[in-house]
Amino acid sequence: MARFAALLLTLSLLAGCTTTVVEQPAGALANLDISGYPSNVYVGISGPYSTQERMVEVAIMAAAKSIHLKAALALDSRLVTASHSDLGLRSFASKEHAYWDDRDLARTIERLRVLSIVFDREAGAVVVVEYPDEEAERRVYHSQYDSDGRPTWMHVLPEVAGHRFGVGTTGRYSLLNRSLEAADFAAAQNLLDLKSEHVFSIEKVSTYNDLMERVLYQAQRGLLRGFTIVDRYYDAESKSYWSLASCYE
Amino acid sequence: MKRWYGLVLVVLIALVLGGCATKVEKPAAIVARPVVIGAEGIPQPEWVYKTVSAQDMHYETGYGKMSDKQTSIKRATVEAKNKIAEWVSTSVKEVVVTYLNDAGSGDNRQALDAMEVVSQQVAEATLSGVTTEELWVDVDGGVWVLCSIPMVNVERNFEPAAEAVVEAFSESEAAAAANAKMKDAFANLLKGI
Repeated sequence: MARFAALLLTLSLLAGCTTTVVEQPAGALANLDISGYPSNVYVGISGPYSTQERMVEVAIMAAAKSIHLKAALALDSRLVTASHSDLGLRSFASKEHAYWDDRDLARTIERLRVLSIVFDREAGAVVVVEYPDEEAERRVYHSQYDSDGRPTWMHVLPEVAGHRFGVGTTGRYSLLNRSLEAADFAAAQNLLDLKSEHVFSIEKVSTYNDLMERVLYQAQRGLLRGFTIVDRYYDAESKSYWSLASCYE
Repeated sequence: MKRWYGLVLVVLIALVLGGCATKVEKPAAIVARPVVIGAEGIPQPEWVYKTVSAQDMHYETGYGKMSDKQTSIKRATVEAKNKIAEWVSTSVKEVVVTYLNDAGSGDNRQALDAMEVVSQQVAEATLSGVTTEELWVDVDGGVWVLCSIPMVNVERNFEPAAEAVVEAFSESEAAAAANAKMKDAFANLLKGI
């Protein structure tokens, strides 16, 4: 009896030390989870189309695009802010672009090996493909979840030697693929914000009617290598999509 | 009587020894800075309130509080990058002004023109390799960032401005020497010499 009580006590103490790991609820995003595959496996989604053939075609193109984005993704961002001494920040407007090389997309698609195809009401076709031209390696990061079931990267960026991480978030768009693309793009821009190869910044301060106005223009650009979407999450509370992206340091 | 002598002797010895004693001063009370915990349970890092300096890097902080965390990060990094740009611009102008004054050509129209050209070039120079080293979110959701730029990148950016001075002083035989001297002055300024 005493031995049983001691065992129970030890177990309860150990249980108190563990981090609660709550799995993400299954849904459209669960089909996109390829964290169990090596790094040369990609996923693409199509969004809804009238035929399954068309959906698979678009999903394969989306997967091939991920491969090209990983090779090189050029980003630029322009931003204007204006502040007044009496009103504070009056405007904060930015315009952001991303560029990638799609010249060999057809050749990349030819090389792909389809591993699975799943049809989903929200995502359309979800196609998982393997790119044999790339070496199969372990993924750089696997998400951990807090007691509320949210990935910890929503609050604190992961730290892995040789890699940088960025987080992007967006509200819901009418189609899942558009929401995800917007969140992925925001994550890429976050990477640029955190490390900019080139920054041009110019500030003008003027006084009008005894009020000071400060206008700041900033442009930045950078080239990301190894850009990958590591994880995605839908936060039902804020109705927003979140993406965690990584690139080489 | 002997007892009195003995007592006086003891008092004298006590006084003499007392005079030799070193006064031990109480250490000044160290004012402990209260630990400020941020929104994500992380204590406030020192760089939020204390300037960070290194010989090979220049650091600036930025703060932003917008509608969400990602936009706050953007605002904070924009402010930090602008501070870096201002620091570079001020440093270069300081070197150019000092150089022109040292050369005794402060009233020289050609020198003033050169100054104008250099200032313009510096204002238009881009910063290379600005990295966000640290990030901290305060309890109100405001984001603090610590950005850095390698000094070597700043020196490299100074090259076009220095070339502009050489061009402006094209009539001078000492243009090349002037260029070298100004580059040295700039490098020393960055190193804090």
